[in-house]
Amino acid sequence: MDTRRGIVGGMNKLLILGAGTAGTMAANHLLATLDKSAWSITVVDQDTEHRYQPGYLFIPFWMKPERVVKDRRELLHDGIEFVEAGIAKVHREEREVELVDGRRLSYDWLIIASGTRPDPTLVDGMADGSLWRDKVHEFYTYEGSVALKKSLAEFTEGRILVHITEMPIKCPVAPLEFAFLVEDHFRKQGIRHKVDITYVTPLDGAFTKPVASKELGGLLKDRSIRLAADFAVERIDNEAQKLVAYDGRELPFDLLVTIPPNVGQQFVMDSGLGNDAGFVPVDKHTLRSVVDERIFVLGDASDIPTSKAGSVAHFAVEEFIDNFVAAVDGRPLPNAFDGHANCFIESGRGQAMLLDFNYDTQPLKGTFPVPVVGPMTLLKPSRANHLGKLAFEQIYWKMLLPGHKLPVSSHMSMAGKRQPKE
Amino acid sequence: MAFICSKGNLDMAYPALIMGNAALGEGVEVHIFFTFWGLDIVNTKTNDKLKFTLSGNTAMHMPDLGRIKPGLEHVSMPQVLGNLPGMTGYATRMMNKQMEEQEIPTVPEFLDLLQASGAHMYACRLTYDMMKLLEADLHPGVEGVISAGDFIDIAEGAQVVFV
Amino acid sequence: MPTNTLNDRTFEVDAEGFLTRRDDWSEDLAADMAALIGIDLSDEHLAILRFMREDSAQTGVTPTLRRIQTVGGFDIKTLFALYPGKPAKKMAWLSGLPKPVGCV
Repeated sequence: MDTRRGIVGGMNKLLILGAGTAGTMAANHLLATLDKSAWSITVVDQDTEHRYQPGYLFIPFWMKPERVVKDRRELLHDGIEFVEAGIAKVHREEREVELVDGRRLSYDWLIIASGTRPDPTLVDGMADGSLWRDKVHEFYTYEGSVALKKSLAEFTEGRILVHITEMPIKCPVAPLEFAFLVEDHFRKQGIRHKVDITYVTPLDGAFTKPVASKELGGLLKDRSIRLAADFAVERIDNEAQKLVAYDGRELPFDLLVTIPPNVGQQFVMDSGLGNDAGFVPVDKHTLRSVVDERIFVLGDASDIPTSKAGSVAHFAVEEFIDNFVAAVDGRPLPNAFDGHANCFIESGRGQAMLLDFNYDTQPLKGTFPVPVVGPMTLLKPSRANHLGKLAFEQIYWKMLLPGHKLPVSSHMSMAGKRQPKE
Repeated sequence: MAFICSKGNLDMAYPALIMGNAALGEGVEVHIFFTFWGLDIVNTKTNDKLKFTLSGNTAMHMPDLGRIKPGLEHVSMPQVLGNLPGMTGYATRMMNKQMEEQEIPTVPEFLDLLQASGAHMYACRLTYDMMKLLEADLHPGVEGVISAGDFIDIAEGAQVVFV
Repeated sequence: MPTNTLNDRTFEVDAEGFLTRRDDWSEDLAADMAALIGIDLSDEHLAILRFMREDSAQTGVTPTLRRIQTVGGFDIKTLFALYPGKPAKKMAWLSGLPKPVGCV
């Protein structure tokens, strides 16, 4: 056990790995919180482009790709140092981070906010198949969603599979949203009848939690989208254009939109910090590494059992700030993160649904954020939710990342939610 | 036996379904071809809300009217009544109620029953394309979307009933 | 929460029949439950369930098929052979862990 207090003579070095949603928010919040004369804050990322990832969903349909990109350095407040470099390894014993270019950065406290990435090499015939980025696509990267836009524009007839390889994935509702949007897309073009859409999932349905499945179970059928459930994909047969499951089921396709397995960053695995999928095991309430008290993990990079989503990162960062200050002072951590997530689900036809849930409470019906009045409705498609989702883009850039408080509690509230009757 | 269903009215949906079911019960092989508005019977977006109309139905008379005046139950209803607002909804509810009293299943349930009993059901390719239907919407008992010619081959030598 | 009783053992379940209390589980109960879905629970079957319980005790979630393969060392093909049809769901049910779910 290290008995040194965090604040010792001279500068304390806080190092943040990753300048995405969580890393940028944390840096800006901490800059405002910590004593500037005693702390230096450095953020490392492999490039300078911050991408608004919720936009990836819309790029294949209407959003201009360049609209989702801003310069990471402009989003970090003055006083935060930015280092552009790939990360090779964390040396915990030396409290140093080795960069790909060989440089080493030392730290007193480390925040890992390096997120998750799709790894299409984990499925046979995905990244190594002849159809990759041609008829087999993903929209979880900038390049992927731009390539999909092109294929979608040329698609006039045939079978589309919207497919999840394996949970957990970032933004677990995005594939469902894509299915709704692609249905809407072809309906508007007047060729919906020439396009057969199937939603393929390893889970036992599109909606797996009791209240959601009761309220929304009919939504796929309503949109004439087929469901292939309990589908554990073994490989993609590029020659025959088929998705093949371990149980022998085969689904032919003309366009496969897949969500590859999501894993943590390579340096996390190389540093021995990750689990089998490269996510860092942490205490789910404090987000502190279970093996090193000088390391906290924010955003998608940890193994906490809730959605990997920007809203989770946002709520978690707000809880984290006080905890971090307490940890530095050697006090017990005051806040316990409850796994709060809040997601808009585009349901097509100019509407969206809203989910609000945490570790212990499943998504319920009701209104949000104000009981009865709303204006947003939980677990039900509405126009207001759709407008909320679009408005979120500006909130993200102008309020979330700079670290302004939103009028939404970081703890989930039961106000406005209706409990199912037993 | 082969049936061709070409009408999507509630009262025109039942005859083939009932006769087909009866034939299956007698151990007869049954093939049903749904064409034109008959496709509404196997389209899950429409088959739970088929309608019964007075208009064009000159034989329409109501057993309940006999209670008002004996003999009235045999008098066919004036065609013009069918043009009154709400009449179609009223007549549809009446018919569904009477069917329920006879313990006749609803159209979607009837299709499940036929499928389970081994009836072969097909959608007509030409009208399916014309109406821009979706395969995902068809009742799962429909084996395929086939051309009229294909069905003629299947039905060769069979007794064909056109509804 | 409703409870189920099987061969004199009472246990709390959710609406879909999955055990809600970790401690209600035992290997004998799993064997009795397996019989209900036509599985004769062998040591080979049990080894997987044991792994899943140990793993979830650490992570707090039901392991995915992929994780059962990469961490537990059980080939996914084997899982399908031992628990035909829907291995993920069947194994979660028999090991007394929550059904694998998404966020809705």
